[in-house]
Amino acid sequence: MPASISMTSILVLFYVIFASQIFLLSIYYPGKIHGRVRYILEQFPTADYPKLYPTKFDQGKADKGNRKLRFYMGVNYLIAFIGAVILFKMINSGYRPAPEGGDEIFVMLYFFLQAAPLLYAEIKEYTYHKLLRENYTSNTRTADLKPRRLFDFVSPFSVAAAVVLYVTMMYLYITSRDFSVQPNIEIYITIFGMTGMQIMFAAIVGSHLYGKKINPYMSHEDQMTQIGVIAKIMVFASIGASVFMTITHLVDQYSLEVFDPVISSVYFQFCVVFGIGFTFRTLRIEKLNFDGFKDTGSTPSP
Amino acid sequence: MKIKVDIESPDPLFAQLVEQIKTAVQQDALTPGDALPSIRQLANDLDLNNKTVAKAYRMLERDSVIQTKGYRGTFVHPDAKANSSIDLKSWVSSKLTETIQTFRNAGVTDSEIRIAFADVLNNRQTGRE
Repeated sequence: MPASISMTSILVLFYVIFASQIFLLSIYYPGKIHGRVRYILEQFPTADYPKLYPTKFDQGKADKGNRKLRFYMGVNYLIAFIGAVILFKMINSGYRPAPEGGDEIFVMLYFFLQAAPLLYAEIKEYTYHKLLRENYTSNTRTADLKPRRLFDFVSPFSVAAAVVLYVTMMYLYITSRDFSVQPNIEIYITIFGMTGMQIMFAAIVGSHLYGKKINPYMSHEDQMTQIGVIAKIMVFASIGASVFMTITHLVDQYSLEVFDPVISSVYFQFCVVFGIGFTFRTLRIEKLNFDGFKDTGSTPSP
Repeated sequence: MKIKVDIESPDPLFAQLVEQIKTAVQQDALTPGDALPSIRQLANDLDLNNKTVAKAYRMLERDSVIQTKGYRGTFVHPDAKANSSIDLKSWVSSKLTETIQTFRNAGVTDSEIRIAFADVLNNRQTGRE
């Protein structure tokens, strides 16, 4: 631990960042999701937008939906409460991060707990879109006769930065390991894990760029905006993962493991702010075109 | 420039694509050198089989309306406008009408023409294989 930074400063920094993690992931963003769903239910009723509701949507279903929304928020508030209790206990018990590191596992476990309702919402969204695609019965289909390319949506500089940071991270990691002395499976897991993650980011971008529309009723303009959002998020995620791994590596090299919980928490918040936050800021619900969901006799082609 | 296909139309889907791309070229909505979407992108956007779009692109390439430049993609041919006005379908129709009329004048029956036509076509296909 550096002599110039006192343990109290590190602890204060950690508590502030951990409190921010509790608020952002269990109160702020779940609240935003809740607000978006409520806005859709209020502004786009089943009578005017029947295609928005692929299954029969009556008052009973509406009540059930509202109960589920309340339950979703309740679970998030409960997780936030658990986080607050953990934080309070830490402050009261005089917790000190282990100088040799390892405490980040608790931050990570709590993050997984916080991410569970978000993951549930994501799975629900996926099944909803699948149902929309299955129910889509339009005879006419339209497409833009223009190729879509990655650099139409994200700057080449960002992509280059992602590649350079990934190569730098791998170089630092591989050169710091002695493969002859340490034929450790962990090294290979990290290398293949990080490479696999980058391939997954690229595959997600590719599937949105050239793959089928997730929502068949979505307007062309909204689809282009969505592809742009996904491409940017994946590039930022790649940059974030490489930077996180590089920092973690440097922290190990310079025996600064006491900062590990802070770094992990910042990284998780970065993922959420640049993932969900960026999506919500760019794809503002008030600006999305829901006309494709209107009942026009036959299904219109967006 | 938008393209639209009607899956209930009696015209084959690939023919609809060919016709619309040719029309776009003739109306200058597509100009020489313009890039076209990849087969996969267009097939996914229109929810069609890749083979359908590939067939349309093959027909357009045969007619020199589009050209494929390897991995760089597919582009509108420099002579696309002149080439897209050639209607091969009506040319084939008029040639066949002329030939069939010659056979009929010579007293050949329709069923004989049909059998001979099928034989020639099948032989040609066998020859290709």
